[in-house]
Amino acid sequence: MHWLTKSLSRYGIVVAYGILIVAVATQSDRFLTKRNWLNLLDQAAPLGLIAVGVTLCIIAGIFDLSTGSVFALAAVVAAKVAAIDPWFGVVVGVGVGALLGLFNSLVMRTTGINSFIGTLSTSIIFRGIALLTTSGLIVSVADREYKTLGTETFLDAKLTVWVFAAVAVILGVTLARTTLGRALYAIGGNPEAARLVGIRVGAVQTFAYVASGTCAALAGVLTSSRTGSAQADIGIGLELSAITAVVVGGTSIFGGEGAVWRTVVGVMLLQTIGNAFNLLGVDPTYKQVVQGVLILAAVSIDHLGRRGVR
Amino acid sequence: MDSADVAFHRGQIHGLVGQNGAGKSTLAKMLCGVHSPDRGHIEVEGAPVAFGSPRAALEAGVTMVAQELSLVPALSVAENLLLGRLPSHGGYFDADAMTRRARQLIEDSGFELDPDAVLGSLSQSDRQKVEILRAIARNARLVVFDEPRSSLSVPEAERLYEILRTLAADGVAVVLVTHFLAEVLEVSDVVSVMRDGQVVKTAPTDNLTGSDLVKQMVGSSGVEHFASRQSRPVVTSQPRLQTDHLTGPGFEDISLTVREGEIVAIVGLVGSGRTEFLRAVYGAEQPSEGQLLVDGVPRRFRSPRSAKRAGLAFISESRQVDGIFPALGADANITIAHTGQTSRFGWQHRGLLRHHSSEAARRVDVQAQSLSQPITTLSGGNQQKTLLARWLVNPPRLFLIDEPTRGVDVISTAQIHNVISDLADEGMSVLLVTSDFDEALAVAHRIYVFREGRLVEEFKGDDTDKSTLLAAAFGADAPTVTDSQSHALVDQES
Repeated sequence: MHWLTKSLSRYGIVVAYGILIVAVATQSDRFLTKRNWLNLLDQAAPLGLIAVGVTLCIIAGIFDLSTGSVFALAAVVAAKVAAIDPWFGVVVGVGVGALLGLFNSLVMRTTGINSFIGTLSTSIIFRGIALLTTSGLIVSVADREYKTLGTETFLDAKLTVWVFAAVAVILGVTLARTTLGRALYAIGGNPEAARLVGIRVGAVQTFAYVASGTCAALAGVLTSSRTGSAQADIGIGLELSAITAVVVGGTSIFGGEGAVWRTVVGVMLLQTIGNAFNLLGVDPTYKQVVQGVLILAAVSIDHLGRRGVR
Repeated sequence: MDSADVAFHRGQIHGLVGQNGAGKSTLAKMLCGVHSPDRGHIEVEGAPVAFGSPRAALEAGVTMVAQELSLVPALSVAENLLLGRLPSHGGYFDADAMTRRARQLIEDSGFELDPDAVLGSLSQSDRQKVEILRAIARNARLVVFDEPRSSLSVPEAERLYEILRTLAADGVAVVLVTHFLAEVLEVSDVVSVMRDGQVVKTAPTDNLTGSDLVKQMVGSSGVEHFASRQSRPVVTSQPRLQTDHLTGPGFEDISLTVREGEIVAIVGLVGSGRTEFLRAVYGAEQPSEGQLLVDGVPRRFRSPRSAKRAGLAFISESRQVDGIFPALGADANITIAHTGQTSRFGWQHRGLLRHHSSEAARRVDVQAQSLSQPITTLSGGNQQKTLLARWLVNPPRLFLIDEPTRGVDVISTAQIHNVISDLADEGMSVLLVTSDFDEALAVAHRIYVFREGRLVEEFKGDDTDKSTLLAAAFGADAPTVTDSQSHALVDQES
């Protein structure tokens, strides 16, 4: 009995997700099909990439609200540069994301302002630069090779899904198993204690910002590769969806606790809810209300499970 | 906690003592509605009550001055004092009336506090005064004081005792939970001893001595921990740390040395610059003037990281604030300062982590069911030992410890003292800051006294006594202080 309550406390969100899958499966024959799940994963990949990067930030006690803008700016830059060479565009786009993350980190470290308001400000700047770059127009890429990442498949799944899986595994292992990961948890749990035990707080936080920026850029580039175009107003609100997914998964919004696998479950849970609406043909006017209620229910199951042990 | 039978009477000060983990805090929290009892019941004036919340207890006249302070840092002293019952007219609160009432309360108590000051700007000891006054402001019939003097200076503690006596004289039942045995013997009318979650003895204070209480607290086992320490010989080795006219925020012109294998204590009143000096040595603050030499080499530590690399280690005075990582397990808390040792090529190695954390934990005798349990589930004494263990994964050459045993039970205190002495015998230099003069006398080879940011006197550990140290700490026109006031429990036997 003890192991049951203990594992429920740790895997409450997985239980909640399991209940949702069973519930939807009983209502729709098309839900548990390979095609539907490949489609679901493909749709989840961009948000998933951003959320996985944001997980590192939140665990280290940082809010990154610039990911939606980084997503757009990286996509725009990639599409522009793709006119020279499509693969060069992809690389530059992702590199821009890393630089924007570095810029975020420099701003917070030199001014000492809180990351919440700091990245909110830089997100407006980044979005503005994206607008300036495109003059508000859609950037189309003529070369069809640019669409490889977003449309080609490997073992039935889109390349986008494989990229998401690879990044999730890399960052998940980094967080759980490396010295750097330990430092991220320590800084989020107690920044002053971390400084006093000799952890390079600033450098480790820079890593989190850069990782988050890179992930958001990757998501943006993959999305623009899917359509072969980009514009400045894509990805608005993605930063909040990403944080929602992180927290739904059970990572503490206060930092110091959490995991990448939790975020993956959180992202999949949010996407599955959306998928279920389509399959069941729910009246779109009710969609948001039901979505909110389901998120609350999932988080409550997770929360109750944890309280049971303490 | 397991079946505690005890009665608290109006007009009495009732001491409650026991080791950390004996169940004192749990009992206190049940009285105040923070926890609910599994079995049994609480009666107030003969009528059984069930407090579902602190508010319910408050309405029945029961309140607590908590060990972990429960105040709002962003509000003023006056607002904190009257929070929950601010004076108001038709929904708008009356700032003038509030300040007046707060000022009256402060004056009656004899504490020195500014009602308009923002609480967050106050020192730890001033915050504690606010917490104490708040309980008084609530006109409680039973007040539980949980370690009320842990951050008060000696004269402030004396004021506190007067307040306790006044409260009791007004018909309030006062419960005093504390580690300071001398305090209990001096102040309380009745004492209850708790051990392993039970009240093992309740008796009038008149017939009791400190050693009676210690025997009851530790039971049949563990008495050998209290073997009195020998006075420590003078060390004549090379200086490991030397500061020349070091000046920084809160301290001025400090020149001192700590030799190889030597334990040096800095004592002084709260606010004498001891902590600030120690933090500056560790690079946590920057000194503005003067020089710091480690093994004869001038050093300037820009960060704690660089100090750590030079072989220094530091434990801060407040383990809750900047000591422990509350979300991590005890094992991760122990190895966090030396993740290089528990990893290979940047990868955390579970076997190494388990090995290093259990080795270090064994050395300081951390009591835990499993080292992977969250550190917050350990008692205060065990958390403090965990902090000590953190630096023993790779022992430093100079160990800076601010308040090694604050809020720590008797046995753990003795164990920590033993570990510090053993480390020094192995050649480590230790510089500790303590408010507990007995602690300094028990472990240190030499003692420096700080007053108002300056080093005023130096003593050999076996060549001084507490009244001399106290006089130096207070300066020339110090109030005369009785010897018992700052007696820590651990030295009662010696």
